[in-house]
Amino acid sequence: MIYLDANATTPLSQHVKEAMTAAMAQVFANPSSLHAPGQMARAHLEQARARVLNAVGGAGGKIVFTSGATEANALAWHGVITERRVKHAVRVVTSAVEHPSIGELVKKLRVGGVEVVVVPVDRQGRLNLTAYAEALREPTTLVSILAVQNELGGHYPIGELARMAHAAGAVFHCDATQAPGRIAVDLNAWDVDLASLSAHKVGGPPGIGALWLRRGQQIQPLVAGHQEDGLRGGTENLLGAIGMAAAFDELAERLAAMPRLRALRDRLWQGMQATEPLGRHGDVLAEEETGHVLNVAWSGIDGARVVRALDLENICVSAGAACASGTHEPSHVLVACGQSVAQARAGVRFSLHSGTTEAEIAAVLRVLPGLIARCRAS
Amino acid sequence: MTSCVSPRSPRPWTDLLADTADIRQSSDVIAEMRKIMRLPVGARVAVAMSGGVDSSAVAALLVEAGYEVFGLTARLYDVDPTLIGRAGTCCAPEDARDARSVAWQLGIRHYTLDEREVFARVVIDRFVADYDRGDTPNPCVECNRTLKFEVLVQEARALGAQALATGHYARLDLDEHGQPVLRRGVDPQKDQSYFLHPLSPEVGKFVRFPLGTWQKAQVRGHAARLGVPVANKRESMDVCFVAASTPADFVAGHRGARPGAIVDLAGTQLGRHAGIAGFAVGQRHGLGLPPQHPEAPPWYVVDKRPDGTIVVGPHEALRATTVQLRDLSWVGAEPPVDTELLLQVRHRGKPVPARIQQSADGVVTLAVLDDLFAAGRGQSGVLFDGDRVLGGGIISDASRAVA
Repeated sequence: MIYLDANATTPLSQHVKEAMTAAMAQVFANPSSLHAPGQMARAHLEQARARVLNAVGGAGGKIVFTSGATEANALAWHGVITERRVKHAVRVVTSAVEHPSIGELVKKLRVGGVEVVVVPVDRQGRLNLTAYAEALREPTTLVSILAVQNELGGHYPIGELARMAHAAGAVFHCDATQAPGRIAVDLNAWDVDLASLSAHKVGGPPGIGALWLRRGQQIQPLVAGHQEDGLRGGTENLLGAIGMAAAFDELAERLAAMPRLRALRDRLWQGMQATEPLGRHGDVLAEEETGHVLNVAWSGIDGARVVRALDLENICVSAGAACASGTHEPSHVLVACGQSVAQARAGVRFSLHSGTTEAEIAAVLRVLPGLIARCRAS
Repeated sequence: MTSCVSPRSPRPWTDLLADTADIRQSSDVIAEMRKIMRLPVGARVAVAMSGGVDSSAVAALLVEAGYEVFGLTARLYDVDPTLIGRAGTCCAPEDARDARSVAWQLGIRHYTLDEREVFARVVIDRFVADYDRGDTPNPCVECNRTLKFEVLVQEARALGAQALATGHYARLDLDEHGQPVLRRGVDPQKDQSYFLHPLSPEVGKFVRFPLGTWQKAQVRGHAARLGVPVANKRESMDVCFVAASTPADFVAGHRGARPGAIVDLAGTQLGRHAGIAGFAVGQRHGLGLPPQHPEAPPWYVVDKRPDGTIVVGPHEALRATTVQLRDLSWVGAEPPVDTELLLQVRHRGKPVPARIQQSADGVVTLAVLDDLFAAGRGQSGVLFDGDRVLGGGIISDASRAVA
């Protein structure tokens, strides 16, 4: 099995597996309980929280564990808007290439009468900074821009974007789901106010994530309860938090593997020229992308078909927003980059992880010519 | 939500075995599957999985016979959530879920193809337009022609499959020249050959129907033996996408009801009707005409005109003496003019002898040699030689004995 779908979920790291297995044997109690096992659970939880906090340069701020980055995004948006809307009209600025969980928030808020400005991107998926500055000329409540684009692998100048947002008096939220381990994450240096994090993009388990808040940042909870400082009710996912902390222990190693992944990714792109791909989506300057993603299209071939054909050869990749339940909507990200619906359907995403090897890339390149020829012929 | 197939749940399948005619030894079944597939063990094959028992059984039997099997399900339409669970659906989202559950149980891969746009264009829109024009179209034939024999075949080939197997009840072999021979399924209650006539010679060499020689009861028995859930599964029947309503209501919902006149063969207006889609050629009751003299013969619908007029006449007026078929396709070689064969104009209809009078440009005119009543425009006319399907087309004209 050759797994090249890291941006969907990374394989569970061995370190995480061991940390969670050990915790499973030791800790079971409710972190809110007064007794000794409860205190032990609390100790594990708070230690996990501190490790995640430090791993992303967030010292001084607060980690609120959630069920994942989607919930963290919702908590950030609703939390800020609910807090602010008591006194002010609400206006939000975001980008056209956010994760679908943000897209859902935009739809919902617009129905509720909130003004949401969506800043466009260019053909390579880069944010239109002129439009961004323009959007911030009006009083704005919240700005939300993702750090690393999940389909393209491009990253955004979060520090600069946050500075511009602050100058306009807005709170800045960053969906940093795909960033840790791919680029150096330093939330304090970036000067963001809130950031969404996820465990399963960096070797951790799915089902756990976090919202980071800068010190003093006020929000309202989505789910009421005394846990997580009153910001996220419900008994904490202790095992998940331990797994997330273990995964975030390894960010430096993941980051160190990126030059190697970039070389492998470039070899994959060079090697597949024999199959005459139409082109590469989000092909930008090296300093503007992570290097582990290759979003490629073959003329006239539906991306989902390539994904199926590769799966039958035990090679796992993704196609835009193709979903196993059988709806294949064109990727909103590629459409935002100005691609036609047909081109957007043709996108196939290879995303490498720290365990990806040279032999795996060579194996993919051996299979690809015949496979693409077959997909073309049928 | 309808219940999905629960993995490995206990099933009272011994009840089903009790009335199963014949569960053959699995070694015999394996040999039979390999003979039907004409492929070496380990070959990659695709199975068109609808979520129902038949196609699930095919997947299980081919896994047992040693093939590298993967499942394909075409998602054809979105169903009004209030209608889910009604009998007669086939390729709605919950059926794709059932197909996936079966695939997981069998340990094979399964892919759902998003074909909603193709299905809407090729099957539903055409069905509505034809019905509205007074024809009686057969959307299952169009679905087989386009979705099964084109879309799924192309996908199977693209994915490196050596063959596409389906759960249809029809026999498909190659003759001594390597040309496909399509025959009726052995189980007369399940025979689906009528719907399969758009099979081209080229596609006929790629497709396999492993259940053609089987009785339904055998299929259920083997499905149970191989761990495929068989309890409480609905049979796919009728027009799947109008499952919860009637074709008339469905068409009226898309186009609006089209009222019109009811006239006799001489053109005299006898009454009015509320919508042309609600009537079928051959229909006797529910015409809403004023009572006739008790001795008078009853009225039948003998024609539905594109302008919305319904023509009624005596039973004899339903008799077709010649039938014209358009868009003809042949499974094998086209038979010469003057060939005598059997013509069948509806799924469970009785085949009647007919002779080819004329054939040109995909249009064939047949002289009907025995009683044939109510051959409506738009129905499929399928041509048989004994139990062998020669080909078929769409009825474009049926001249009546009484004019």
